Amino acid sequence: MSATSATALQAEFGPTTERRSQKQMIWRRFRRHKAAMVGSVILLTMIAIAVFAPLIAPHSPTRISFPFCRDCGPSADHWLGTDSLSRDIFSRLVYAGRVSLSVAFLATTFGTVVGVLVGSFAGYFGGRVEMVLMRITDVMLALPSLPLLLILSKVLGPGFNTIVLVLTLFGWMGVARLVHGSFLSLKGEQFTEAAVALGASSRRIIFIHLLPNSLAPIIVAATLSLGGYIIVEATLSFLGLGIQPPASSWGNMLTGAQAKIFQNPLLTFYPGIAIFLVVLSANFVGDGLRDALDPRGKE
Amino acid sequence: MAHHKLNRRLLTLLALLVLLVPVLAACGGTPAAQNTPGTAAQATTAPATQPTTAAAAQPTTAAPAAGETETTAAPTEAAAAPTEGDAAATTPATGGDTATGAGQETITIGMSQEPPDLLPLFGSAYVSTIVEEAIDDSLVQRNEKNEYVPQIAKSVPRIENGGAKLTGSGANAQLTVTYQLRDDVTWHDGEKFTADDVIAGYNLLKNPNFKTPSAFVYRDQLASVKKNGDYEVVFTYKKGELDPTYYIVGNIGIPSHITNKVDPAKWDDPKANPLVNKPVGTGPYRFVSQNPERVVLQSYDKYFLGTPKTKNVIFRIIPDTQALLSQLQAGELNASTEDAHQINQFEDLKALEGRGVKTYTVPAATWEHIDLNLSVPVLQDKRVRQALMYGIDRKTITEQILFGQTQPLNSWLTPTNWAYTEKGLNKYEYNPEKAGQLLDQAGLKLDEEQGVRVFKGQPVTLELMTTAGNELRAQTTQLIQQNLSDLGLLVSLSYQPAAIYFGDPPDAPLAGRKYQMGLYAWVSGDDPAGFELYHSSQIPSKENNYTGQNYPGWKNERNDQLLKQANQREITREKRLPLYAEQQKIFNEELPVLPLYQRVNISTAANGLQNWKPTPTNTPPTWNAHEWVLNK
Amino acid sequence: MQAYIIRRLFQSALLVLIISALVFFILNLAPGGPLSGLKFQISAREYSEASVQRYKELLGLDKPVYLRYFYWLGDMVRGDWGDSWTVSTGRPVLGLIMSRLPNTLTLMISATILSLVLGLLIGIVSAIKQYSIIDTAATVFSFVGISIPTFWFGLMMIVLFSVHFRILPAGGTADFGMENDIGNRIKHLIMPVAVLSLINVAGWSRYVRASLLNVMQQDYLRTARAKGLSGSKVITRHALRNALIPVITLMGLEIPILFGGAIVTETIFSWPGMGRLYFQSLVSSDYPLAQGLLFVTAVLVVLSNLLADIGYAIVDPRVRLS
Repeated sequence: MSATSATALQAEFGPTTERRSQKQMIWRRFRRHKAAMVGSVILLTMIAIAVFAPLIAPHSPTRISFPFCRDCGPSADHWLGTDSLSRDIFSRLVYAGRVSLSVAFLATTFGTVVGVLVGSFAGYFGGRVEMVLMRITDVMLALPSLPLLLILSKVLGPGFNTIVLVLTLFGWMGVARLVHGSFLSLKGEQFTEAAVALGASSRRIIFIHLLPNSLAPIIVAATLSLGGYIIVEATLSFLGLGIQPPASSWGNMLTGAQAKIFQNPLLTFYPGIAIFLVVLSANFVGDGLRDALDPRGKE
Repeated sequence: MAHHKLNRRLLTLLALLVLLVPVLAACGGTPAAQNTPGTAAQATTAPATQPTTAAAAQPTTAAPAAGETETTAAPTEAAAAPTEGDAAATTPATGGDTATGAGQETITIGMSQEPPDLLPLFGSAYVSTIVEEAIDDSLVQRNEKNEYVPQIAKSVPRIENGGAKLTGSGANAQLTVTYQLRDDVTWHDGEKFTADDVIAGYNLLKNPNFKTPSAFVYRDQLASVKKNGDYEVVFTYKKGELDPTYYIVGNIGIPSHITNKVDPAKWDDPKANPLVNKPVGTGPYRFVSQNPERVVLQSYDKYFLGTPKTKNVIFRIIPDTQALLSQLQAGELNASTEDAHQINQFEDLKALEGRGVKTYTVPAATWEHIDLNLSVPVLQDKRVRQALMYGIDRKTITEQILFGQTQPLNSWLTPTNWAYTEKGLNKYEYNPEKAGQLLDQAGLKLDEEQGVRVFKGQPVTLELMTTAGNELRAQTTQLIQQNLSDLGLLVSLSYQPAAIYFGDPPDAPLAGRKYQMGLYAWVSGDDPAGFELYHSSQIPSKENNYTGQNYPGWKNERNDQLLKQANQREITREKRLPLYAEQQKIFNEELPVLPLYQRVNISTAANGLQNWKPTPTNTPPTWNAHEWVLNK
Repeated sequence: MQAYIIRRLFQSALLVLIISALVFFILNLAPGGPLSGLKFQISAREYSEASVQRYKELLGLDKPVYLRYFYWLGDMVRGDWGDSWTVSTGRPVLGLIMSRLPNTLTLMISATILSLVLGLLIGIVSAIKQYSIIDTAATVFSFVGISIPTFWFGLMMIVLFSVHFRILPAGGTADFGMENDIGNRIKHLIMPVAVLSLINVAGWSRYVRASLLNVMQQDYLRTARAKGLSGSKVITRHALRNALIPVITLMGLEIPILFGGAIVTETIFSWPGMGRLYFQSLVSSDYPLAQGLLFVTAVLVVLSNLLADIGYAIVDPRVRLS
């Protein structure tokens, strides 16, 4: 089935042999990718801000400050002003980063793990297992998630967990196909055939021989999907089912500010630029990683 | 082999985008749908949920369907109404004194959603009534001052003016309502409107196969409807059935000459009922076409109140509020109806004044409140409920979150309702000290260390539930949460999808009474009613088959007596008014419900659009469409 | 190959069936069904188990879900996709879908063509002029393109072109009375198509560039060049054709993506298409309509996957199809 790009990717990366010296080489190549370096710095800064949010934010992100000040401009107390509910925009932005990045990282992690498991089992065992798993992947790709969302909302309550769960549920298929395709073509390689001939166990072949050799594309895909999840979270908010108030995420801040787009475009600028920067950085890093991990990359 | 480099990104993107397809759709629902008054004239109260769910109660049997692709009805008459393509080219001047010279030829109005249907006696979506109101006139009509005025009828029949009569008393009391009809009213195809059209409506409504959820009056309360000549109809109620909105019972005229052969069960089947694709009314505008983008109406020259002053009225359907705002900004619309706007756009809309767009705010029939579940131990003490009321800064809510366009509400009746009585109501102005004292008295002592109030050894925590995705409610609840936490009460917020929140008993939070505090809105009907809301027999439970809407579970003897008397024993305003006045005082003291505020409806119209008169009721602004003129 | 295609066709049909069943069950078992909120809509004196039962019978909901599924499937095959419940009460679903389909197709086809033209153009130019200013600009553009939320981009375009400059209409497919005016229609198409194409152009241009660069390094092209063929000839005659094969394969995977993008785009630009209808039907619990639309989506997704697979199997026989 759609080994479309997966096999191709694998062909690109091929099996790794000498892992140690490679690390340095990868780092050297990555460092040369200027955009990726800038992206890493931005991404790490954003992560740091999110982690240390309570130390950085001068106010509580949900505290309505009195005297009530609707959509007030920047002041000494409120560096970026206040929003329509008289809350400190800067603090909300900082905490929003926490939420958005957590959503993205968790969804990426879970999605990748699920995808790797499904893809590698399908790719390695082939036959009926492959059939079933890859069909499930297809079915998942065509599933409408509103009813699922509603059921999940009822069980879990709408919000952070639900979003992560849903993003994971509908986000693992890409990686699964990637890994599946990659395994398909690796299976034909001599070193796999050698391992099989030597009587290695399935688990050993999957996790020691095949998976490490598919790692590069997985890492790149994960990095690239990180930015994607942030966009999806924003889009979810746009359609009204993102992170629920009073918590802030970049997505719901952007959507909320959008109602004021003609009045106060600056409001949309803050979360907008945060989203843009992080997604762009993630994509740059992904691109840099790809170049760095590509064994045929220029030295 | 750089060749496949982008493969991965594309694959990732693909995964993400495919993921977007369903997920996006999932989140739907929320943006457009908050400001929507309920509709059915007979239903006394309906919750202000989403317009779309209201229509969900309209069941539909599967009709045999072929691959029809046409949703636009082609005009059939010889009078040649324009099809969409050439409407602009057609010139008016059919009638004697067309007033089109005075203003522009076309008025374009933005609305949020395509009308699900334009069938008389059927549609319940607010967007449907907007269009229907321009197409079809009723016997009596509510104006912008919340008064009924005659339209097809010569007067509004009331007991006070002799148009309706009440004979007997108690179980033998019997109502008779007589409508005198104008004899110069015609349907858009030229046929006369007569008493038979009203009787046909009655026969349709009482038919058990006719699919409408709100035909109670016609099925169960009326004894007979008879005509007396072509222009008089007499409605006779069964004994003991005191319908408080008897004066609008006759608003059921249908073009019987078209529908007399239609099977009531197939009323909404385009193959059985020609009105589905081509509504015919008696109003100032006649239906030309409808497609997913717009509904096109053209003036009816023989309209009995005179030829409308504007030739074309076009409703543009723009579901996204932001998109609608941009089109107003861009000057592509001459007006927009209240279903399309939310209060949080107020300043944006105000800012449009510089671009010649005027914003109209009128109080809505909708009022926001918090139901308190009186089964929750801590809420059973009246002093706690009063403390909550004193402790919530409703002034800031109305002044800031609602831009000062409304005031805090202290009763379950809105000031627009005739039975609203302000005298004797405690205003519960924001007073945290007093709230604290009341809580102390009720035994909710403040644990100074934790800053939390403790009741019977347990910290007091309450869950405040409301619908998800409603910005206004989100902001209101956050302020309430902060207010109450300042008092030492821990409030957690729970936002539920409307489908779940307003779901059916026994599982749904409200209807199954499984909530603690529930914020939502009711839409008041023309009559104050209230029996279903607050009479103790109306507390939904398994025992009473989940009848009634007394979700707080309020039980008060005097209140029960007053509501029963006002709803089932008396019918004149004069006698009912004091009953409601006393009842409201009890309500205001006992507070089974914390009334918050009356909502406002926002609509816009170009400065040059004359006679745009939005109403404080469910009557859409199209009620006086024949008077509209758009200055050149 | 033929056997493979037949087998895949069969599998795909089965898949569509499974998806439709899943969709049906999820929709019908999800909370908030068509009768949800009934209690809030009819007068308390009318709400009773009997009235609920009556509505259930009217909607055919009194039968078990699995039976309903088979009824639905049977009707569906005969061309009766049911009637809309709420979005357009009483109208046949198939008709509703068909009335929106042309609008959505116009949008999708235009967007595909634009993406293809721009994607190819930018990709080829930046491959030929690798590391030039144009190449850098294209790279920056493509990264920026995939880093902006679509809805945000659309809104910005409206602010700029409809509100500020007032040169493009903010929504709809045509002005009233101008439905047959091609110019007017194109004016209405510009912004939605631009928004829908953004991500594709960003992605495809990079893809074409990479693909082309890769092919140009291959031995046979070096040979061609060594033999004295001019640069442009090499590109048009040899490199492009080979580089495009994977690009075209990719297009099969594109239809469902466009459908997804259409939901957002159609919402922002009040475009009366299938995406918006789908969104609306889900919001309004209009299950027959949602089912119909989801069925169409499922068919599109499965078909495009199938095409992509077959295409890839043709292009790259190394893939083992067991």
